Amino acid sequence: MSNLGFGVKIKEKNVLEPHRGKPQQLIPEKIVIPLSQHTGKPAREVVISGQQIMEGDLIGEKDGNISANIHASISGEVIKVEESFHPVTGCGKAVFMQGNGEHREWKERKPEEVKNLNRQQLLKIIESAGIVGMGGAGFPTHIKLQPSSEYKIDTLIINGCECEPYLASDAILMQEYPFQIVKGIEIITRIINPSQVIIAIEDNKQEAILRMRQATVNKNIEVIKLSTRYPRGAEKQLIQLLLKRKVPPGGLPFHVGVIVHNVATCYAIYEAIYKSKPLIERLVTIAGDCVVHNGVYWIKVGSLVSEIVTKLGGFKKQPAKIIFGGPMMGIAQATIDVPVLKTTSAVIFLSQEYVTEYKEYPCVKCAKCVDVCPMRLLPTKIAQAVKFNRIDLAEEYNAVDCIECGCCQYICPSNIPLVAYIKQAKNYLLRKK
Amino acid sequence: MKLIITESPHLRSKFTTRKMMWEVTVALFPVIFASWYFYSQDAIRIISISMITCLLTEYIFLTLRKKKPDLTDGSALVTAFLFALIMPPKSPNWLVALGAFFGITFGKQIFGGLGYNIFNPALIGRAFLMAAYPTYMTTWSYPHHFWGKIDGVSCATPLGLAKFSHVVTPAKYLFLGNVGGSLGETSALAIIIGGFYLLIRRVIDWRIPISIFLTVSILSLLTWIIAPQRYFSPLFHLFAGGLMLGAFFMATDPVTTPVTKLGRIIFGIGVGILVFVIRNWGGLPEGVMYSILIMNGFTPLINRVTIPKRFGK
Repeated sequence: MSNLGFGVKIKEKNVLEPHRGKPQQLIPEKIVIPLSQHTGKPAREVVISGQQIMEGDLIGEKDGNISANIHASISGEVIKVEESFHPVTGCGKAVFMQGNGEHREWKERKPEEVKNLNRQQLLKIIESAGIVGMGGAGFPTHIKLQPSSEYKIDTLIINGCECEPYLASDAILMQEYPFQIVKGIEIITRIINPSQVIIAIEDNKQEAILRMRQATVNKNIEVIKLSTRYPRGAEKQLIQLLLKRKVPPGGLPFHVGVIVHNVATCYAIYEAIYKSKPLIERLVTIAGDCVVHNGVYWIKVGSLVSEIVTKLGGFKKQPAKIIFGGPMMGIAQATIDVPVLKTTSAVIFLSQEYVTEYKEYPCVKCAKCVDVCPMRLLPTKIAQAVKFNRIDLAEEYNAVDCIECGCCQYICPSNIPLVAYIKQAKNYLLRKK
Repeated sequence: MKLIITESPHLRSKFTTRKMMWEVTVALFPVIFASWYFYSQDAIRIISISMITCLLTEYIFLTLRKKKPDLTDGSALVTAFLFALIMPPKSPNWLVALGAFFGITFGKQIFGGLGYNIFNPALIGRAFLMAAYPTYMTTWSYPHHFWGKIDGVSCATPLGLAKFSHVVTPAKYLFLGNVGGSLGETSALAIIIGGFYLLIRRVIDWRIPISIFLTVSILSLLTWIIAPQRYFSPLFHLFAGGLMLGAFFMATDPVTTPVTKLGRIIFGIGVGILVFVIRNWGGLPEGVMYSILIMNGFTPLINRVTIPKRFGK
């Protein structure tokens, strides 16, 4: 049975102000850069307090096989290296810096120079630039680009399906920097040599589709328009939709000969190769109903949310909830003094008006959750199993497959916290293994 | 700054259980109207008694179970309407009240209330009356605008006429509803309007009614072709008795039916087969109620054996 009708159509007013031109850059006075911003082991710090460093200097070195470098996003003095609030893990070691306002001139590579770089050199540059998957998980890109040689990679999918409501970072990136993204894609194709390259974009981003099509004229890259539906960007579902290939449970795209990269990652690769610039800033959507100037901005990794808000005119309404990421999968923050990470696509501020407390009603087994689940799970059954401590049943219902997209809970007419229940089962089952 | 921390997702759709129950109530309007058209004050009388009894019973049980009595979820109201609509039009007041009380008590509340019952409460109420007061439950009265000749005080249902006297009611009258039967089951037209509303509003899954209709149609078509003098046409089976009302409003009760898509098709086929078997070879002329109740009992098992294939397999 196909499952293409999965997911939900989310009708939300776009709370962004209309966007014109290239996004503005916000430069903070101080930064707090966590040493763990990726999947894998945190980076090892290579700076000490009191040290003067330049923007782009290495401050955390990758530690072990699955890890990534971390660079200073501003020039200035290292204040200290200690535990700090972390938007994803709660707390973690971070480098605190005070800026001095200096900027670095990035050493540009000429197209001929880039052409002469071989595969190993390209990978080395990507690795040392600390590039990680910017769609959310933050898996180190240089590792993703070198899958085990037993799998032949024939397709590269560039994921431009920014499917969560409110988010516009990728859309703006595609609109304003299409040629740079394509250059980044071309670097990836030189590394993995796929026979086809597909850029998938949802049809609510018409401008981005147009600009990406212009940028890919006469290139062996196909821009495919997909209907807007959440979670369109989910990797496995995207692969099935575009290529009719099934990524096995527990498997990864490369198992079926596919690599999926986010558009922002492609842009970061472009900057690393052509400008020798490490991943130290990214486009972040500031949305919600609280901040005076919402929009999409270039924000330095490590910028504190409190400082960003001050720079954007402060609050017009008191926020009751601050979310890192989209409203469907994002993480609610306990404090405003958290830093933006390489993987932070948005910071959403919601006032009390948008933060309803939901009363849980008994499940009437309407099975709306079953209808929307992109992984074909039975969320209500898993939740019920967890409630009655039947972890064996939760396993039988494949709780581990859950991608935590939140569709089930979004649609649930009884406001049951299904995701929380399923996560509980999933974490338990994964730990047991 | 005081910030609220909750797990994702941070957005919810505006769809609620309450709205779902309201949609069902709205969908029942054509049926209620038809029952009023054919049985005037009897319809109003039975519906009112059923409503009062159901809501009162629900209230008492919620209080006894130390829950904050909240009748606004609409579930007791929907049960009240459905129960009233499957009662014979001349049912005495005490019979309606007893059945409604029994339905809410033994059909719903003793299992733990909304969401936990195994069987459809309205049908449980009627099944009880059928066992305890069979005479009352099989005495039918003539509707206004009756299609045929009025003969005596009580009327026979089309299925009874067909089974015991071999008189086939024309499909046209079955469709419009000027035939004998329960308050709300006679007019296929009114039920189809309500059913389509539920389908369009996505309150019910098309799989259940469609698989019931298809199963009954196919089985009756086959037998009708083989022995037309003994068996009745598919059209007769579809429009007669409680099949329409049962398929659209009872067999689609989410609580007592499977959650998987395949499970719903199996459920529908099961109901269809049982209806056909009881109508043709059982002792009773009609079997929709028992068919749905029997399949309700199979629901947990059906869910268990129809767990969808994992994504990617």
